[in-house]
Amino acid sequence: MGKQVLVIEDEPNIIEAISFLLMRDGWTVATHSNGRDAVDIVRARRPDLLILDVMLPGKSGYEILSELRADAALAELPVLMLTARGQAKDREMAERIGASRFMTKPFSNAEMLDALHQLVPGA
Amino acid sequence: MGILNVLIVVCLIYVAILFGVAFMAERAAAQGRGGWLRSPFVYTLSLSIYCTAWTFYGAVGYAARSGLEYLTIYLGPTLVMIGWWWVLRKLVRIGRSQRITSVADLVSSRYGKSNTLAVVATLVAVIGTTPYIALQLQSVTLSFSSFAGAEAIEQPFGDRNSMALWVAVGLAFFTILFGTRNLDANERHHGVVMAIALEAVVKLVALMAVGVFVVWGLAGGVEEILAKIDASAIGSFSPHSGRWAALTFLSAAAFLTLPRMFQVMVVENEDERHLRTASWAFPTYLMMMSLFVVPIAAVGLELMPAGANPDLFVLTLPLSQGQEGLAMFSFLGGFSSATSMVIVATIALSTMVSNHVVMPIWLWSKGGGGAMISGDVRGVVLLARRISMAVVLALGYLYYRFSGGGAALAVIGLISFAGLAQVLPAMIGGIFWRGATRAGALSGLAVGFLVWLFCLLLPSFGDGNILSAATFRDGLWGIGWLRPHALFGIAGLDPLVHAVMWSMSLNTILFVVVSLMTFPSPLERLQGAQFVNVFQHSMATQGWSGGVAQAEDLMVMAQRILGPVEAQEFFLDEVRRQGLAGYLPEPTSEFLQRLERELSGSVGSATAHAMVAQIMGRATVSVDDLLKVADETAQMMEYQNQLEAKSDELTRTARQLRAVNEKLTQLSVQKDAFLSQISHELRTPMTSIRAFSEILRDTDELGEEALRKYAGIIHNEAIRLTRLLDDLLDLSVLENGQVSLNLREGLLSDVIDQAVAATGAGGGTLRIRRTQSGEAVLLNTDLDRLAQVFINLIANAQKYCDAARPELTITAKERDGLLVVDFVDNGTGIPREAQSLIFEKFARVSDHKAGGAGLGLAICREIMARLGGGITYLPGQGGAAFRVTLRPSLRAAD
Amino acid sequence: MRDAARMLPLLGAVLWMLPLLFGMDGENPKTSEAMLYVFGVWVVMAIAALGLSLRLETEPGPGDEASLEDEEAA
Repeated sequence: MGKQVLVIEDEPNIIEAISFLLMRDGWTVATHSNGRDAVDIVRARRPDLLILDVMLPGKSGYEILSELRADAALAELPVLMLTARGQAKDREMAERIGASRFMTKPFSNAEMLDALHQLVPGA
Repeated sequence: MGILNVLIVVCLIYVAILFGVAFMAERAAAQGRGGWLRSPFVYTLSLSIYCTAWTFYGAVGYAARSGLEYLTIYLGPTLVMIGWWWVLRKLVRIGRSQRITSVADLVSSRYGKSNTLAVVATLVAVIGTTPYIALQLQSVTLSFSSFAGAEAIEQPFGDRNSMALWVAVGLAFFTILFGTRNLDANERHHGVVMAIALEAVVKLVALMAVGVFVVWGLAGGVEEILAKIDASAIGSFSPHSGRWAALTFLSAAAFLTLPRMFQVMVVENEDERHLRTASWAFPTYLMMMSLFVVPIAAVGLELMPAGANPDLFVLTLPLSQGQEGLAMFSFLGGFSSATSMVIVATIALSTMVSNHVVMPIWLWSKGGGGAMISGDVRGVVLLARRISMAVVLALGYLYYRFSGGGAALAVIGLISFAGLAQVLPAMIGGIFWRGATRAGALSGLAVGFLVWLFCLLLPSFGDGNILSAATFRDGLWGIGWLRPHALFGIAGLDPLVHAVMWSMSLNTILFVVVSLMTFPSPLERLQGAQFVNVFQHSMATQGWSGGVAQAEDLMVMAQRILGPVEAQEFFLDEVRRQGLAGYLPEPTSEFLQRLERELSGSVGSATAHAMVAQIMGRATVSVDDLLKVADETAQMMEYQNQLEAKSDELTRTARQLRAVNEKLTQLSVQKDAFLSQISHELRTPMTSIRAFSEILRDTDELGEEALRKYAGIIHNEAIRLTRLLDDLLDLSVLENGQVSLNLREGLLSDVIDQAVAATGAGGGTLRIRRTQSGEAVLLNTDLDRLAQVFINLIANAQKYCDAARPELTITAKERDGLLVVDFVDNGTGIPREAQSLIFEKFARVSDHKAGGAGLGLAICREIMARLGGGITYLPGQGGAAFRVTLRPSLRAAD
Repeated sequence: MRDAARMLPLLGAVLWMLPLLFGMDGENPKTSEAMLYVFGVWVVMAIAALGLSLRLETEPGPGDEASLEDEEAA
């Protein structure tokens, strides 16, 4: 059984692409597509890794991350943030809040897998 | 038998003519070519509803019983009319400037828009007028039966009562048909006024024809008739001096307070200058009506058998001489007098009942939320009026049934007069004396009314019917000084003089004393000053202190009462006055006051005030407002007004500047966000394309199905990218004005058809409602571009309308030479703060992705600007509402 | 002229109350005489009102004030 990854993203096609990639790489993949109850889902599923989009309906990725980091049990959870806005201030924002890694869309598949392996050694 | 049938046919033809005249007058007024409707002579003739069947039949009966005393009934109004400069001028001015709808509304509005007072005044009016309506029904049936003999009448109608019922039903029908066409009391009832003006001529000519026949046909000339008069039973002039003075006063008072007189004199008044003409023409009319009364009475007494009812001499005298044609004409005259009175009285009473009784109850039953009510209130008001009309006529009929139809006509009329005159102190005091208060008016009116009830109305039913014989003899509860005909032990007076004296003097004394003892509320003071000094400052301000946020709520409310078109016009007009753009004016206190008056024309001042207060919060009457109406020099007032106007203007400018600044800031934020948005919109499809193309490249053992699926995703996302780029280019071309229009001719309905088909909305969950009639307009424009706009609006409704059963209403109509197409859905609409932004690029109201890039409305706006029209958001329509305006092609479609 | 307009109804009221005094000497007058008197006053009143309404037309009256107000409103 591989490590569990949770993907929070609202574009169905992107979910499909990431799921395909990660499953082939041996991960167990769960997905969720809105921001409102994302924090509860993370608490319930306890994934080894979280992939989080910034622009989500209901609640932004930044808000979700802040809430996760405020929770002692989740403060160390590795989080890879994805955004379609490629500006420098977005990256700064993500790092300040505590994202483990930050990637701009579109990403290269290989790069994404590399990043995941760095974040969760032994996966 | 034959004569009766002829009579019925003549009656029906006459009624048909009346309908025709009323209908034509309405049509002419609606088409704006009713100049002759506004003649001062039509106004004067309409005043003649003062002369009812009571005059036509009753005056002769009265003269036959009491000689010249009947004249007092016409001398009173004559004095009021020639003294128009005193009271009538002021009443008419107040009625017009405050948009007063009835006597009750006048009193209520003057005393701080009190609805209690309005209800009491309405009650007095209804109770006072009911016997009067009964009297008209009675006169019609009496005249019918005297024409053909009491037995013959049972042939077509069953009996007299059911004949009265038929007359009442017919009158109700006419009144409802022509009396409730317009809701606003200040929009005149042209049809009704024209019909009663015609009836005024008929009754005058009829009475004079009988008079001429009697004087020259029967008596043989002027000399002879004078001799006959002196020789008759009423030959010597011995007036009861108390009654002579009291009746003159009473008729003058009633002339001002009768609901139907107020209706024609003040409410239906087109132009204050008409009063000038009426000031001499109406006394002349009254004089001509009274001229032949004594001759007819004298000859009738001589020629008719001893037991004949003198009330019917006008009819029976020509009949007994074999002059059936003249009798028929005379019958029509009486019929005219009766019907015109009933129609106008019913209109006046129904306005009072619906405005002051039904509407407040209805609003209250809707949870007290005057502004929060749903639906079109106009329907409710009209229904309330119609039902009130039917109820008023039913009351008149019931009174006729239960009073037995026996009493002499003159007696019933005088009882009515005395009851209605109770409003006089509150009315006259209200327009001349600033110190008059609501408590004073209320207590005076109530006491006067009770005295009248006890001393005049209840005794009129006869001993032992409602008041027991013991009450008459020993007083109420055996208290000696409470005898209905000898109040406080003063016996021996004529009952009418007794009742008028006590009711009016107690009424006036209480009114004055209580007014002096109580303190008027601020609103009362303000209204009092506006009434008393109506010629000095007709435009005094009232302290509604407005915020911006409520303008839309006001619009919602106004639409429900005035109707959407009228309300939008009214608001637009105000927007233009204030020099603003858009649909919502600043709620300045002048505007609120104008709006309140406009509303009060439809629902009465008390209700209108309550409804505006619901939205704006309590009306604050400031110290400044009170100072303004206090007795200070004109310069002080002028100075204060100027200061206030300046400070108002400053506040308004500051508010507008703030709004502009807010928009600029928002735009700059948007511009910043624009790049970031474009980036996001382009990168999202790109991500899918890159990810899947790498998967296709790097994965060897993909199945046939997965392969096809992933290639499909890449394809779709590429199309999405292309569409986005197309939109961006489209917008940029439109914005730079480089677009070339492909002008063609076509029907608006076809363009909408095309748009509906393109969105697939016809078969989807969104229901589309269209008004076919307005769409038959020929356009000469770029039809494809226009269709693009419509497609966008329909698609938006499909995406964003959040109603359980989404519905989009498309209405097309012409307004001020422009073609207006409204798209209104039934969802929650667009929040106020977003309304000014939705036409900007990438402005999406909610953050949930409904597929669009947020460019649709921006493109629509550019297209409409290129086509020489416009697109705006229409606030206050319930759901999201967009208005597209276009210039139509010159010729209309066939 | 306005004062005349104000006085006219008072004059009328007085004139029309006079018939009450006719019978003071104990002899009731004939109805025809009283009738001619009342109608005579009536004719005079109507003509006086007509004259006044024509004369008042030229003075600033309610009509003029109303048109001023309309201008303010426009």
